[in-house]
Amino acid sequence: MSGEREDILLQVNHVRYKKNNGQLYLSQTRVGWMMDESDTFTVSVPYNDIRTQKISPEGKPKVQLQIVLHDISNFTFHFCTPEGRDKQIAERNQVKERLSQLMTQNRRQPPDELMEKKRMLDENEQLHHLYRALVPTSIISVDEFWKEIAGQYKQNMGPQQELGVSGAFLADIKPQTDGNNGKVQYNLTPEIMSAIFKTYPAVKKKHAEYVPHRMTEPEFWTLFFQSHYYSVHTTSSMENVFSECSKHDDKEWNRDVSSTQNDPLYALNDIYEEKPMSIESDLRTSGVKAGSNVFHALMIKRFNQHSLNIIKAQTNSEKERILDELAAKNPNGIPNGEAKQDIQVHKSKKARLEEKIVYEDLENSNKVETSSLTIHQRDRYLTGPTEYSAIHNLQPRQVTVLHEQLTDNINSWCPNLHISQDPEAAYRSLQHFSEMCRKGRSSVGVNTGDQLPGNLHKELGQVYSSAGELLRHFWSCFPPRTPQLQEKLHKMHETLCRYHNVTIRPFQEMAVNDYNCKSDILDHLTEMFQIASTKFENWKARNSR
Amino acid sequence: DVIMAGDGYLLVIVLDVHPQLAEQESIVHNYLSACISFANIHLASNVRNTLAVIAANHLETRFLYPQDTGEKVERQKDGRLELLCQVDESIEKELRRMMMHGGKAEQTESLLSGAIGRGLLYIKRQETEDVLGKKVHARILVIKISSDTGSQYLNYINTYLTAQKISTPIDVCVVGNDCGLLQQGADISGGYYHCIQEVSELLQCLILMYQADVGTRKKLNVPPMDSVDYRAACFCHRTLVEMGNVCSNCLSVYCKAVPLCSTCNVIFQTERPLMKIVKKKK
Repeated sequence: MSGEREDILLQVNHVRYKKNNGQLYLSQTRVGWMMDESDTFTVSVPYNDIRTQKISPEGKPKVQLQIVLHDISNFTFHFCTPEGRDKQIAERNQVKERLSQLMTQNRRQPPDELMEKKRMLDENEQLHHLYRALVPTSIISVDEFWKEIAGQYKQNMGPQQELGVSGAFLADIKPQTDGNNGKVQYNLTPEIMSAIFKTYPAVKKKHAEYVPHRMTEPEFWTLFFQSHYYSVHTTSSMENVFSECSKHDDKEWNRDVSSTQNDPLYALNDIYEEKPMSIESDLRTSGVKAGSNVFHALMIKRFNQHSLNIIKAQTNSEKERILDELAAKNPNGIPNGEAKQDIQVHKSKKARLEEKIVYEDLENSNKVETSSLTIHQRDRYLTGPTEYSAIHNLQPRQVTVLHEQLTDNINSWCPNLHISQDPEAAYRSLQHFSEMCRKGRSSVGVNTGDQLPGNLHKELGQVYSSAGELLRHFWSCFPPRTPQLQEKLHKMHETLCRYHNVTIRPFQEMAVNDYNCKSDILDHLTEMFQIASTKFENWKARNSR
Repeated sequence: DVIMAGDGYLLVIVLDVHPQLAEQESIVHNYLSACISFANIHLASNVRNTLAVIAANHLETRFLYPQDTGEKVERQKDGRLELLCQVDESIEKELRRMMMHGGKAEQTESLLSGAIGRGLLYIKRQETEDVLGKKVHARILVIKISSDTGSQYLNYINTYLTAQKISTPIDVCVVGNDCGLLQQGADISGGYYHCIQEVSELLQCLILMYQADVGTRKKLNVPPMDSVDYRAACFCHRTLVEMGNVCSNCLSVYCKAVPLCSTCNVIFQTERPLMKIVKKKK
């Protein structure tokens, strides 16, 4: 293995692969196997490719470890130290643990940033379009894209949602019993550990206190599994790490129960009381210890506590995150007082009911005082623009005279519809209108953007939107007072030129040749680019003096 | 709007009979005959078509057809279709009566805006009175021969916007000089505007350009309409302005920046006081 960061973290001899003896190596980024007499690696697998690893069950004679890749292929390594089967098992387990650690380490680094970028592209379609239009054609480099343009979109993104804790995570730790010694083996992964810490903050505190000063990790976890968290029969005789936790948990449980019970809206105040006139055979809730069997009651209580803690873990983490975001946005702000951790004082029942039925913003808003408008010359609004018609400005007297004339004319009128249209005049009229129609039809090709076929229309829209984005960045650099702005201005100018050549010209040619558009379809856009470049030239000329 | 085959159209003709018509004696008969002929053509082209004719001069507006006297269609007299005969006679009779009403009026402009308004109301009434509640497909044709001042501007605009609201195109045929006001109306309401010079060409123009109904027009190759001048007029000189200043209180338009709005007496705060302060410091 050559290259960066390839320190060998673990080496195991006497490992067979495909019936050949060799050594197994674990480095920072990959796992490899080399045959005994060779010096090149036969097998070399980066951790990112590994999907999972498996070990052979306890009973089998061969001690094996299998690595399964994402593409289903697998490698099986056989541990065959001559020092004995126990050593083989120990070596194998060592490899397995180290391998799983390194796998999770290597898996965590890229995804966060990549995932976030992917999320941003998925959520903002416009950003996605811009990305596709600008980056593959190398008009803008990838880094510049993410720095300049995506910066604004980032602020509008909502928070990423965390995965919650699975309700059955404790139950999923299936212990394996070793038939011979009565030893029980639990497989504990970092994910399970973080789930436990999230669910039981008391355990997290204890872990911080005890590990690694007072006891090692395995000891701590062994005690955990022996404690009340995991088994009913606690070794309560010993003064245990977790007995404090159990007291704390019980206190919290009682608090939760009483807060639910005392909630005025639920009317649960009397569920534990003896009701008068109740019959023996009726179902009765008889206190926290339900049923006759104390152990059953204890188990049920433990299950309830577990479920409640899981729910609380999720809401707490969300609360923390919201507070973190608020603090980040408002670093100088005075923080609000901390939420009270003790027993909540319940608002009165009436207040709670009102909260549920009234929305403040649906109430009638108070009327705003308006002042009245006094207009002194109304007829100004009524008159339109006066035409230049000096010839026909008739005086009322003239009109009256004409009116009499018209009356006489109509009185002497014998309507004869047969001669309503003179053929010569009709012909002239037809000629006139035909001429007009011919003139109107003179333009060849597609005129306006409204008449473009569908996909061309969309493409035009995209070209405009990416060009618009670039132009916006360009114009926002003016006036360039700081050196950064000046540098950005230079860069934007280059980008604009590149964009013009790479995208605009081909688009225009395509539109004119393939779609028979008028050649001025992108004139407006080209004009905008020209204005930008003139401005840049002027600025450069002025500044270089 | 889906127009079924067999639906009729309502054509409302707004006819300008301003005395200015009489300036040229020979054209009166031609003008009126052309309009009546066109009304006949409209009724004859589809048995379900209906008609209304409103005349307007400087004194009044009047429905020439239909009359609400409740007369039934008479028997055929002279080979004409009975309905057409009735239409012709009604128009002629009412027109003569209208001319009899002399009188003096301060304003000399033809009351076309009022006639268009009455036409819109008639259309609306037809719609509400229809037994089956069907939508009435209607349009208004304005035939104008007189000139106008800008004094009824607001009335016209009101009718245009109403027509646009109820999807009624207002077609305009102007004889003589161009009329920008009516051109705006045709543009706003989705109708046609044409201006012809000779009354002798009127009927041919009407048949060619205004006979087709709205649905058919989309398939015809009509000459493109000119762009309409929608510029506002400033309140001080009544000249058209492209860029102006508007009072934020009463929305009156001025061609240059004025310190005081003369319509609502609001004083505008300009930048001049700042200049004064700088001078004082010196």
